[in-house]
Amino acid sequence: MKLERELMRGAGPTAVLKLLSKHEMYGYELVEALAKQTDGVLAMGQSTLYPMLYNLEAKDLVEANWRSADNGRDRKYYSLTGKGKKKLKADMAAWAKLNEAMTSIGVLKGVMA
Amino acid sequence: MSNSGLSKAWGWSVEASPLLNLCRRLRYMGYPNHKAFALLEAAGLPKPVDALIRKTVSKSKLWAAERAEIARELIAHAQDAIEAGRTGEEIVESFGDPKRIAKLMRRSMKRKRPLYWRAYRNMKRATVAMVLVLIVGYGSLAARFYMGTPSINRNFIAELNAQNDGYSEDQKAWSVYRSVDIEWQRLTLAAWDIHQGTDGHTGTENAYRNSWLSELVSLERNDQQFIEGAQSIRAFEPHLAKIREAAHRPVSGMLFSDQQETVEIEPGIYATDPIEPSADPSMQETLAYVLLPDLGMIRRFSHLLKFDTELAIVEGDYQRASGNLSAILGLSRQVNKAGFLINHLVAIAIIDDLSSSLKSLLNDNPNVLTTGQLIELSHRLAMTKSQVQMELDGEAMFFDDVLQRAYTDAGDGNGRITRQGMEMLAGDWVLSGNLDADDPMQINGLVKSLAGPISMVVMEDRQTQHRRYQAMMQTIYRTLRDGPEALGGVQVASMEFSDQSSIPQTPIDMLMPAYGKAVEREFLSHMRVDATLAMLAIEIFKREHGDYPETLEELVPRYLPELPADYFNPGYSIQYVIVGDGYLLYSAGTDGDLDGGVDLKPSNNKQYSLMKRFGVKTEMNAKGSMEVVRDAQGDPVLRNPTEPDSDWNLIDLRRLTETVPEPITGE
Repeated sequence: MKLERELMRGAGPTAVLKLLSKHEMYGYELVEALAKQTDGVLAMGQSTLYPMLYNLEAKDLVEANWRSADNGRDRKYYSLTGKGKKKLKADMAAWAKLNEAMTSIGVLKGVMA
Repeated sequence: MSNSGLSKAWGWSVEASPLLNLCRRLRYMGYPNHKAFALLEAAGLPKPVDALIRKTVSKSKLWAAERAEIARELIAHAQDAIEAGRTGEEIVESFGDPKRIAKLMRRSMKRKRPLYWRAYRNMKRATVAMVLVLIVGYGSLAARFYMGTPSINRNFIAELNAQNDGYSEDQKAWSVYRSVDIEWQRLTLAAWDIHQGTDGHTGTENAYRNSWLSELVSLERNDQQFIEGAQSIRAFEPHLAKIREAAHRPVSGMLFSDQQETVEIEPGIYATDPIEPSADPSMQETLAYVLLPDLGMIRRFSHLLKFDTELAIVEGDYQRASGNLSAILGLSRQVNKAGFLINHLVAIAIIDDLSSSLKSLLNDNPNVLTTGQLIELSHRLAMTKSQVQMELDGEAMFFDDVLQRAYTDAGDGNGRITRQGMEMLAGDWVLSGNLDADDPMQINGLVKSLAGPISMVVMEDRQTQHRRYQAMMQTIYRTLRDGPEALGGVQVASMEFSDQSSIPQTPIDMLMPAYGKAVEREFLSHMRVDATLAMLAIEIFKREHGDYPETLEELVPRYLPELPADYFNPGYSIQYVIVGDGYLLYSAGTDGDLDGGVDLKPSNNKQYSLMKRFGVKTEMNAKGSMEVVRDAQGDPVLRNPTEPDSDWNLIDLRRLTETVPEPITGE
């Protein structure tokens, strides 16, 4: 199942920030992680991921560095900035509230059921 | 904040410096994919993937360095996918539409650009938006301006001519004046034929004809030219009799018109007649073009009558002399009727002439007029003074006519300036020398194309103009009613008037006459007439009592209805003092101090000014224009001239002479 565009627009950046909060990652790695860890719900192609990363970079929430990987090829690694960490914290709190609200009116329960 | 922190905050770095960016752009100008494609060449990706990335990069339309960055990232992504076992087709399938991706990439990459670039972009957008707003705004303004047309409904020339309604032809003087003027031309033409090229008369025929009379008056009585001129005037006597008769008619009756016809009825003799104006006011010229040929004519007649009065006295024809003086008053009354300021100024100039004539008559020949003639002259002068008041109806009509020809008519008295109005006013600018008529760009290019529509915004609307003009008129009438002490009010109003208007081309600024000066002349003329009336009263008193009155109070009310006021000395009358065999009537003059009629500064050019006496102080402001000086409370500061000046000797009959000039024999 794939999320609708509007839902993806809200959830996608938070998901990327969350993945980057563990360790720095490169683009393909992020695509794979999102697809696998969310059972494809938050899967996104390059067409969505890279513009999103550039936006997060423009907002100073992530920073990027080109570095040679073990296989000798160059990769661009993305990592969270201090501002990005704060933003993630705020987003997570907002999602928790949203989760509560959705549960209280039975939306999440309904889905789970 | 560290340097790098500061640079980051402003989106600034050596790498992203404007100069470097410019260099990069210049370097890759015309081939912005060069670097990106070089990376793709080196990567050796499967063809479909390579083509896809090339297309995405090309469509992104970003800077060359940004394209290279995207290419590098997509290459790394594709290589990771291949390493994970994906085929080229699978990669292409998961990529999506390259055009759409290029668009998303472009949008997000631009967000990463440095602050200066975003500021420049926003400024560019704002400028474009502003230019668009200006173009649209100016366009709609221009459309409104060029679509507006004046509604010329009111026929002011007909309204002017209505003042002659109800008078029969024999109650109008114009036809008499016109025929006498033709005779006058014949007379002066004959004089020119005699004198051209001689006696220093080397000018044109017209110049000679215009100056002949004034030269004649100024000549000594035993001068040969005076004698010859006097003979000519004597020969003109039948025509002067016609003027004397016509001057007592109720109105001049001349047709007001914007058109006139001049016909040479015989060589050198011209008849000028106003032509019946169009009944349609839109076909008429503005009232500024209404011709007043009677003005010069009547002024000339008053000079002629004045000169003939002297001749009549010399000849002992005192009845004629008295008739001439009465006729001069009639001319003044007729010319004042039009309601134009210029007419009024001519009217009071004629009365002033009469006052000076009477003064010299009573000085030189005190007994030539009978007591009855003196009383009649006194009554006529008093009546003329009350009739020849400053009425500015014609001026107000002139202004309203300009408004109706320059502005649209919204139906509620308001309206906006029109193209026709601007062209009309531009014509006036040319006349006033503010624009160069030989430079078509100044009128056509500037006025029509640019200033025209903009003028609709910056120039006052019709109602405001009308209201301001009316307010100025009210100030003038109030000052005339309140007396010379209120002259400062007209001055302040005039100054504020020009201050309010930052746009000199508004009609009201161009058309408002110098009313302050005109009102001052009105008061000074009243003083001269009052002094002349007092002089006549003193003369009549002397004839009845054998001696001059001790004081002016003795004349009131039998010989004089009230004491003549000294406008320079509020609360006091004109001063009267018996000196030897004669007397003196004098005013305090500009400084407001009485000096017993002593001439402190003998000079031929003494100017007694009520404006200096009661006017307000003015000074040049920072903008280079004059403004009223005000005290701490904001009230205008009066000039209060303290420099002592002479008293104004209005009637000086201190040296009575009984010498009667030698009769003119013509030999």
